Amino acid sequence: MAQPKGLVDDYGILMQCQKILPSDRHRLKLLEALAELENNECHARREFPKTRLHKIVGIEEAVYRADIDKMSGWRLHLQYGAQDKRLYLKDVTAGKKHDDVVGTIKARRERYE
Amino acid sequence: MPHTAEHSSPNGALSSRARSRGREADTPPFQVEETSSYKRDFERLGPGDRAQVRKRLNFLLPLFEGDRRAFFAHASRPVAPNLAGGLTSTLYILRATPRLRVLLAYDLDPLFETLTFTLLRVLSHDLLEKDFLKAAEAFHRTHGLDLKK
Repeated sequence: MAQPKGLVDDYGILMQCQKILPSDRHRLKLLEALAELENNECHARREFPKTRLHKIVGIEEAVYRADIDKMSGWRLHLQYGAQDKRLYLKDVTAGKKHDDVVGTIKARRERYE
Repeated sequence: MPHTAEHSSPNGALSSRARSRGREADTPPFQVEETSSYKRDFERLGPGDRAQVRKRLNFLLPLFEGDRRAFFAHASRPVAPNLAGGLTSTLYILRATPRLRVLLAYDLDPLFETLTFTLLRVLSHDLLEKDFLKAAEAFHRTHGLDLKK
């Protein structure tokens, strides 16, 4: 079995998701999203059809956004660790706030390098 | 493996290298994306200027991979856009011709191993700091980022 891609949750984002996601349907979507982010085949192919993982454009830092649920706009913010090649969960954003990247990053500035 | 052939897009900039996703070299391949503003600015240029801009970009953009110091010797910005959240903007001005400047942003993506240049505008050489900041603000806002006042 292929080794899963490392996903680090230093800030208790998954615990936070468990608390704030509005329904079990969203929690199931989160599980699917995490499975995709950990899936080494997705990383090898560089295709993330569920989460649409993508870098935030126009900035030096390797900060990424990944959909939990495209329709409602719940998203994860992650940062890629170039040294250990692992993804670090940084935040979860609510549906209505998913376009406010700065608000999210600013509120958790100490988490981003 | 050496770089393979370059292709020119209808608007004259490089489209992409036909190298497969950085497997054969230490540096990633690069892609060029043109915003509608850039396309509009480019279409307004005369044939001579278009050819010069195209030629200059074909020369300068590959420098980023091969000799970054040389690339930045041709790039400048009147002021670094001050992004909220302490993020670092990658917006720069390239000297395309003595009279024309190309506003661009680069994105080095370590996860997808890509390098993408986003061409934003073709502007006059006498653009002011406020013009640059206005363009920077518009660009970053489209990606959900704000400049600090």
